[in-house]
Amino acid sequence: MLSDNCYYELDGGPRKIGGADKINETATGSLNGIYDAWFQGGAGSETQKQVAYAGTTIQNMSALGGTWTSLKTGLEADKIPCFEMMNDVVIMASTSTVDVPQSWDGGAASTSDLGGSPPNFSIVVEHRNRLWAAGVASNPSRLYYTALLTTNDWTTPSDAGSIDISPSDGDRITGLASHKNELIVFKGTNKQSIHRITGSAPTGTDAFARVPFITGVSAVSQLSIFRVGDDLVFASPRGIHSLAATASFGDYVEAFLSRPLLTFYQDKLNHNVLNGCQGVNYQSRGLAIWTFAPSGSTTRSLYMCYDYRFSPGRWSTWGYQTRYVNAHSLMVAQTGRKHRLYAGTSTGFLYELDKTTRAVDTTGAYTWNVMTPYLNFGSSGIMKNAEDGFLSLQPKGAYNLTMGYQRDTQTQQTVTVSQAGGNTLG
Amino acid sequence: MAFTLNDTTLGVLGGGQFKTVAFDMAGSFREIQFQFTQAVSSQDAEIHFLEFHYLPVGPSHEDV
Repeated sequence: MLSDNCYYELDGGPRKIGGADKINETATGSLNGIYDAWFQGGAGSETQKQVAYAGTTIQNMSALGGTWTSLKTGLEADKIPCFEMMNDVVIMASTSTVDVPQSWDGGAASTSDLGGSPPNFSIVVEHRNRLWAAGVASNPSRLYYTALLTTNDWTTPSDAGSIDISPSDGDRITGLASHKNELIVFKGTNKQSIHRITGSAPTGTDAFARVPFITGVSAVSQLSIFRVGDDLVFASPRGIHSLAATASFGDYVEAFLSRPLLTFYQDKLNHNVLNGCQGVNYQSRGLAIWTFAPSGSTTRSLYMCYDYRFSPGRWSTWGYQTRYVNAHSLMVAQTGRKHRLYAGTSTGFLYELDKTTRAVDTTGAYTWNVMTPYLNFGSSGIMKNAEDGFLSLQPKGAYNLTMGYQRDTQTQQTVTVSQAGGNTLG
Repeated sequence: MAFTLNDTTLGVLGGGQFKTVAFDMAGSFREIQFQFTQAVSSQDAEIHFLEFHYLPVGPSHEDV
């Protein structure tokens, strides 16, 4: 079964994915991470900015206007970033052990080192009106939190603090997610475990507490974790998972969202750079999308798409067998108040995806490719003679598509199917 | 006024009025695989149903 550069219509019919339009004409550095930030300010008018970790710099763009402006230079190249927003500032960290976390208010000409003596974290999320951080090289199992309602107070006793999560157990914290009033802590990527942080304050009757959740499954990267409906989904070294199914079935492979693709997941991805995996919930199409570097490459160009409108969900790939826009980073951002899908490429361009015109940059072709398994109609021992067939399609224009059929080990035979005109059967 | 959710341009319901194309096939097989491709810039494709007719010949030990 193959379904490349494809998504599904509601009755399951496969359709070619939309095209891609370039947003910035002048390349910036390799877009390792992109974030859609909204600043509310105090004047009743919100401001939209995109923030990117590009090569060795931090860049920003106003409302997808097409021009990147530098906010900081001289960073380590090609680290994995993490973004969060709280108190009307964007907090950005990366997996660099040299660069320190940054903050930006949306108006300043440059970012600032995050104040309050923060640890040099690589993962940060907002949870219960505090910043929570992890991924500190010197304390890989330690979870840090700020004082209430602050982003820059990491030290006030009895308000800011830290929690150790099974220190020195062979793993490090790989991800955090605020979910249903709890903080979910992912450790990996060897033994793998998931933990819950309950409570609402450092002290008192509802004090923060660590509750072990499960072992054997965990997230491989912070950016692979996101919410779908009432659930969290994430990528692990072995597949794609939902937190709800993991809670019920643990590491039982039948419960993996990627159960139909386990071999593909193991053999077709570059697991040495799996920690760069990124994902988004593209709700406009009901797709959970992750982007991976395929085997032999370090560029994230292979999209794995899970259509959660179906039960069980349906998988497809983009950019697997033939090119599509490489998605070194992914973002869902608003354009004209619509939530649209964007990819940041390793060559420094931001693209809007899923456009009506089936082309990249108005002219570039990509291939929709759908293939069934071999079908034996009940028995491979019975020889059959092919007679004829009928294909129902939704005509899209006065042009063709190609249908091929391969009999056993024979050379594939093809039929050119015209989409033009009316119903040929009357 | 009738309520219409579908839009043939947007394909809200995944289609609308389908076009059914008949085609001849030839040759014997034990197993068969179908593939659909559209590789031309600015050209779309959306398929919904495939009906396939064959006649069983019978058990065979021939190499195929």
